[in-house]
Amino acid sequence: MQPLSAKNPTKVVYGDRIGKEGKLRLGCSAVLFGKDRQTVLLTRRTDNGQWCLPGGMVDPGESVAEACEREVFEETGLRVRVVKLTGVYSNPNRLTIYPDGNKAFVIVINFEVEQIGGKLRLSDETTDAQFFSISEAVQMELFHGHAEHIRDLLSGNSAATIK
Amino acid sequence: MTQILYGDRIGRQGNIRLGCSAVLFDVNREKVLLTRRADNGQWCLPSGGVEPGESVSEACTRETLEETGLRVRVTRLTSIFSSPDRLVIYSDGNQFQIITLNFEVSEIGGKPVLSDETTNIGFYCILEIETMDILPHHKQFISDTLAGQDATFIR
Repeated sequence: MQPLSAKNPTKVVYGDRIGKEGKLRLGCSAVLFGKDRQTVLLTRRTDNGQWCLPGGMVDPGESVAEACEREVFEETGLRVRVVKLTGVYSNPNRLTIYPDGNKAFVIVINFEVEQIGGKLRLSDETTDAQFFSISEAVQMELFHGHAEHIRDLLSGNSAATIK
Repeated sequence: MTQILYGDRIGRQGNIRLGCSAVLFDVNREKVLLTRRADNGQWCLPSGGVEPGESVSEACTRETLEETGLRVRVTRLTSIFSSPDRLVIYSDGNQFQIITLNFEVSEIGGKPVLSDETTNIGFYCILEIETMDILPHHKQFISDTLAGQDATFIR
């Protein structure tokens, strides 16, 4: 997997209604703040080296909250619980191209989560995981526009962002 | 005909599909727009699948226009329904666990009309809706929307 990925990493491309070229897939991402709410957990993807929020695709037979909690555990070792749905991201001008050539129009549900157990560790999908200061995280070029998920969450709106 | 099966984690037998639905109140916020499906006689909110290359709000406004003739604007996301214990089987044999985003919408134009897929359309109050044959999660969406809270219900 890794040599193939390194040569041909997962890419996100932008263009007018380019999402049409992909198969619709539903994903989730998770914002976990540190204790003081001054930091946020990010992971670094094995496949393209980019930092991102923990998250992944929703599998048949699970709810979106279960998918989010499972992905965070798989990628970081932390047990979390969904607290709030903070945004839906469905930019039609974005397309994700995987190492195997498959194209996807990925719609992402972002949740704020809280830690209920576990210890931070890495997985096959992540080469690094750490808490970044929020001011730094929102300035980073996170995978798939994830910095926007953090910014929207912090905007002070109590209703979910619809994009 | 479309079949809906319920059972522990039965969603595993299908693929994930993303849908949306719309709650549109009348001016007094007492009645909700419902249509009656031609294929099975059941009442439902305007709803349908999200297509690649459209945002979820675009999908919601498009489906509402197609099914009711009304042009609407999405105002908030009231609920997400993603029960893994429900499987939808279409007449072509395709099986899906449908995850639905429910939006409150406001009217910006158009006139209510019937489509090929609907035999009835109208605004109904909650007491009437209680007695109607309506998809259970759509009934849930209506009460979620009436609750009027900012946070999205995770169902």
